[in-house]
Amino acid sequence: MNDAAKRITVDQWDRRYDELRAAGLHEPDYGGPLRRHVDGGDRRLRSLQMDNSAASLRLWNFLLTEEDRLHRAKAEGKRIVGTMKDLGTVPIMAYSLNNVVAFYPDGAWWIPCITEHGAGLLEIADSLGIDDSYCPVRAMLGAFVLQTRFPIPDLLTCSVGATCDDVSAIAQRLCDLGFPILWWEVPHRRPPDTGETPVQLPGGFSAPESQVTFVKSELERVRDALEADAAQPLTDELLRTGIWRANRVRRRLGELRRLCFTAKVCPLPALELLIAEMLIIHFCSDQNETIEVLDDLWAEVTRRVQEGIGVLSADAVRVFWVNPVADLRVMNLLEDAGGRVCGTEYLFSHALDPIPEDLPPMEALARTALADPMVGSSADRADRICADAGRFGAEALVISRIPGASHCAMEGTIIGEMVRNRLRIPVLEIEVPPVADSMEPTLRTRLEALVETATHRRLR
Amino acid sequence: MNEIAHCSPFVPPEWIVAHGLRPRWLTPRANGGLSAAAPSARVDEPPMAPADNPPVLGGRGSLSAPEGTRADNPPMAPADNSPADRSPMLPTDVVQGVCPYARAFVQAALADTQAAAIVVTTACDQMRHAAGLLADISPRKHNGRCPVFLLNVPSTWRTAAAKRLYRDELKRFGRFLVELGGKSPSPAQLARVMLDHQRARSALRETRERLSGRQFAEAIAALRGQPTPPRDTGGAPPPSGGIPLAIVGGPLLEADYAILDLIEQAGGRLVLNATEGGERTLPADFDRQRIDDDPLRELADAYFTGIPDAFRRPNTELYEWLGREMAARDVRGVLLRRYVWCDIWHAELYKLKQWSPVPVLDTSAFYEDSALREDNAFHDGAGSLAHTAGRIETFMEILK
Repeated sequence: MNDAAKRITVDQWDRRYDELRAAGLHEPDYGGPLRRHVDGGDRRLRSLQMDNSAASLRLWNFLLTEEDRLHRAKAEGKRIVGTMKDLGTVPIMAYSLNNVVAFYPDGAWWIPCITEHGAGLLEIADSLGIDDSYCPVRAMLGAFVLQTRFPIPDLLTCSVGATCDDVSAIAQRLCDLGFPILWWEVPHRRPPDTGETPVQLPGGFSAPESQVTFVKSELERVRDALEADAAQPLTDELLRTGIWRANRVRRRLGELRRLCFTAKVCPLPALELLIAEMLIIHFCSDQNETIEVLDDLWAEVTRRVQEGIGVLSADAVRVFWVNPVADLRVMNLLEDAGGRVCGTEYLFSHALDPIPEDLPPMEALARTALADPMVGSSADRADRICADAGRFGAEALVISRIPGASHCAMEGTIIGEMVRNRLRIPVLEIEVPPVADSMEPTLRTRLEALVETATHRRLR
Repeated sequence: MNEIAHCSPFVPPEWIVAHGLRPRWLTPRANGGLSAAAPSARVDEPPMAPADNPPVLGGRGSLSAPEGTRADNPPMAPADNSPADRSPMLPTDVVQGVCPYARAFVQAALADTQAAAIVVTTACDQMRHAAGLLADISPRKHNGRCPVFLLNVPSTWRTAAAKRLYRDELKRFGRFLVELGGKSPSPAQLARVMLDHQRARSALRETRERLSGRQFAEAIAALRGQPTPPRDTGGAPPPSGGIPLAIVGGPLLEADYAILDLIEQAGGRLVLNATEGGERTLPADFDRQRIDDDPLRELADAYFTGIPDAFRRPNTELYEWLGREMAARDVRGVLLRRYVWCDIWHAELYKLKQWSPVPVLDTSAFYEDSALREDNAFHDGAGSLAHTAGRIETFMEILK
């Protein structure tokens, strides 16, 4: 069997799967050929170039079977908690309980892409007055109405305050439709004023102690709700263990990212790394399995790095990517254009940073929630992007706007200017809809121009 | 330079006055200029002439002042806010997806040479980011002057912690005002100012039926600055009779006030202004005893819990308030005024239509870039005032 690392199509994966099986591939119970997902409606896979490793096969299968996993958990009597908007904090609390499965309903925003609009979720959102002036997260509304994608959660939480108006408005509509929501507040993070006690947050930001105390009190309300729903106490001891487990995942992902961003030859395509990063938000509804999946990827990437092999040319231009793409295919386009991802900020960097384990757990979680890049100013976010892009040697930066997202309207300008001024690298801002086929020539041309510009700068 | 410009009803003018500073309600023009307190343009006025030196769009991604407006044509002068006093435009890539109000606000704030500070709240995500944008570029444009204060207004409102957060934010705002030269008020001073404002609001409410929709809206806008006795602001007298209507929605740009005239010209009578600058967002009446006990707490409670709004989670109180007021005023039709890219009010359109016992008319606006650049005329979803006028006239015809 040829073990050369490369990106292959789903058609090529049919043969590759047979080869892996013949070579003794051992798969978890959700394993199987990728073709079955295409047959089941995940049509976007036909347009993607995917990594050809067994580890990536496991990753894709893990991602694409999440709905089955949620339905099974529900059938087994587990409590299902939908954690909207906070991107990584409440799930840690939920997974500290042994009979709770948490998931991120906002994750439905990728369903229109994966199904190439086959699920009809956006049409339902349209019919409820949430049209395409909203972020694609509006697909979540359709998923709740249809009730076929994921089971209706027993408990729904949503963080509001310093969050995007899209999710806030859509969650309010869900509430109006009869889905009760526990709203919890996260205030706009600000630097401490003179005389206020500063608190260092994971990731390097700081906030006044009063804000941390406030968020902690809000998370206490969430804890009360989780305890009531799960009918078991969520003790500090359980939370400590939960944080330890979450940190284990975060550390593994951190190692994977570092390897991918710093390797001489890109060892893993941007698409698979994006999905791996996304696992961190709610562990794709199975925290233990997330660790296994990331361990496999880490082992594969480590092997490739040690052997000096990868999926792209060694001279690929190093690009830092800001914001997740609504259409996964665009990550392929970057690589087709001669770029590679050497750093990312997908709006949840607070879910990547280790949670302090030397603090009372609720205090640690409050600090983590306040470290959310969307909760602070765009300048804060740009600061971190500059630091990471500089650290990983980015030669260019792409800001991928999310159509309709309230935060995207202005932040790109601030981030772009700061990056230009500090790092002196070219910046490109693009907008990516859920299925970007009609825009592909334009996107391709712009990404190629960015790569060519960065390449030319090498020669100067 | 003791004016504090603000545009959110969650900024209590009493608190600013009590610190010895002057609040000013900022009503942005669509072109990015500003109105001192209340708009004065009329529907039948011709569009303002383009400035002699129309602003140039900045380079993509650049926040720097437009070329040609630097040394030879300082972007901030003159200071009289005349139509020719055009602020630098935001860069082109800020236009996409930006709510026209937020964009006009940024431009107005940059053009404002009178304010000692500008206050923005977190009630709207785009405005929250606008505050960040201003904080980034305003010092450069104003030689380090004109700081921006971002007041945290919680979306949740049912918990004691949320109320306390708002109260603490007012205290922080107070410290900011002191840094600007204000003086921290004694409880007695604050109480006196609060009662002055309350009297002015009560007097204004009594005049509502004697004023046209525009006059009443202008009077409320003035009240969010210094309290003054209600005055005749000119313009058309209130219509006698007419179909009682409500207007609901977010903030209004100056040009949007034309809608208030249009309603009355078409045979309606505006009996309820529930836009962000209207009656809906006047605070609850103060309790005299609670003022005596703790005036700041009473001030915070009256504003934080007394103003129903769409951004609140949940936003049930908005509908309770609307239901109560619409019934009391026998409202027969509702106009929703919202901007494209305003997620919060856009989402309410569907619910309002489902909930309202009377017909609802959507009047969305996007303010095309050409309108922003070239004049201060009214441009709505179809690009013309005539379109909205036609919709309103048809609405009236149906309601008759």
